[in-house]
Amino acid sequence: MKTEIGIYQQALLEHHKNPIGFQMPILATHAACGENAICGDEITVEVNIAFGKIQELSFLGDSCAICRASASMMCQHLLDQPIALIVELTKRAMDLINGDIDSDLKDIACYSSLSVIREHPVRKQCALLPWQTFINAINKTNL
Amino acid sequence: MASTSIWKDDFPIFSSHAHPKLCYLDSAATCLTPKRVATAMYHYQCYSHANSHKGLYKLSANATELVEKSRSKVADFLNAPTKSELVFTSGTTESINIVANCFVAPKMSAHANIVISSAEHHANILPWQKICKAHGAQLRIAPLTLGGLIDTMALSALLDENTLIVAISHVSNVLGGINPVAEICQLAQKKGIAVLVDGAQAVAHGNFNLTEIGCDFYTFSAHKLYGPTGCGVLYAKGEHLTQMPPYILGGGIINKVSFEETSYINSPLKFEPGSHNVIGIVGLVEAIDYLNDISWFEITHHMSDISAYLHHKLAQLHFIQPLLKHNRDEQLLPWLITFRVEGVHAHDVASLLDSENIAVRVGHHCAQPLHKLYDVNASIRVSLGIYNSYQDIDRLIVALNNAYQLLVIREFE
Repeated sequence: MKTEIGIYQQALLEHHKNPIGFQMPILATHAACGENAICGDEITVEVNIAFGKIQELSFLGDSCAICRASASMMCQHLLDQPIALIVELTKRAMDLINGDIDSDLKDIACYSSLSVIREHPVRKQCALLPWQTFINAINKTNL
Repeated sequence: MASTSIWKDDFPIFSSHAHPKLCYLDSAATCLTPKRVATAMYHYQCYSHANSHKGLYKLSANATELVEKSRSKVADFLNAPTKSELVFTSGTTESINIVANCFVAPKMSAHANIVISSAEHHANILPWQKICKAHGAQLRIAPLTLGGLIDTMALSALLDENTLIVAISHVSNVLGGINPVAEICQLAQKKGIAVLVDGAQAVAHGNFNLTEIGCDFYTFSAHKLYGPTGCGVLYAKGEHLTQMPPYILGGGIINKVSFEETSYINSPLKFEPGSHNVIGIVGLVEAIDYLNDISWFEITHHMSDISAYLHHKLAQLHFIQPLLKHNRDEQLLPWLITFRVEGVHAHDVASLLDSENIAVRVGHHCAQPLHKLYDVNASIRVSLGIYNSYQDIDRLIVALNNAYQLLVIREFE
């Protein structure tokens, strides 16, 4: 078991302290709330989908550094991505967190630092929550 | 000056081959186990184990005698009127469910109401909520004072002729203050209303006198008293035990069974079906003996000393936001404190403390409604045991400073 300090790598800390998409007002077409009952993370993900692409993506809520950094990376990576690809991209991010794929694959390079979570099983749900909430949001009908 | 605890060496978990660097600050969740307790349980299971209350042979009779002597010892510990009013259960959760389902549920109607407080553990909310919903009855919530104790007068105003029970904690597992349970019992019983007191967090304070408290039901778990998990006690007034039907049905609780009908025995054994958890009961009684041997005066003195130090040191950190602010002049500060770190999520604080071998509890501590009342999702709880000392608190303070420095978001600096 790795010591927990290792989870707070510089890349994650940077996203935690300067998150992308946090509390950014957008004209949301889709939104969902998610929570992690064990630790109390709460997150709302808002999405603007138009012309077959993610036009805007934001999140808000009271969540831990891991959840917040993961959400920030999600906002960075999924912006401008075509709808046809986002389910697969999200699945790959969640596979990375779960340790099901390698972190050196090119298409996931921008959030490869999330791979550290796999060594900290109790924190996996923190990192997964934004992605799960995003999927719930886009599966809902338009706002 | 409790710079160290003279009892820490009694706990093998701190030995060099186990966790010598462990700083355990989660005793409200479960207390660590003294060697004496573990040894007593080992010896019983290896050399004396048999099915109690069933066999006629010596080994079984000895096990029966052990359980019944243990019942007497627990009665003495609680200053309960008689041992025949004590039921061994699996813990506080089961005890409350027994009372909800066997004492209250049979009397429920749509006009009835049950009174609890805002500071209850889920174990003392859910059983009452369930039976209220099933009958369309009211669950009434007594508020707290600014000091975090149950507001006695406000609770009294909720009681009426349709109140079936008042179910309250003796000590909140989040706020830690000692509620005025004797006063609440007097108020309720003047109106003919039964009172259940959840003593899970109070039991480690010792110095009990159930007769003085005057409640109808009292319950606690052994593992909050340096004993094992899976064993607890329900005290119930004899008249209630007689009236209540059994909860779980099985062997050992009957006078006579036919395929048409069953008559049940009239004793605590009615609520102890199947085989007794004798090893758990042995552990509970050994824990009581261990604490009695130390003396409750010494324990209270030590715990009060380190609690005052904990509250004092945390109050010096500008980023600590306690759920409840205590007056530093209070003579007896709670043996726990629940707080947030400004700008850092509780889960991250716990992870970083864990990296320095410091164990604390984070989350809602099975008290979500109380957290909602204080408008927080998650908090950090530090709770003390007899093995703790100033050294542990000093380590906590350093680690909290480190966590804050690493993770604080600039807007909070």
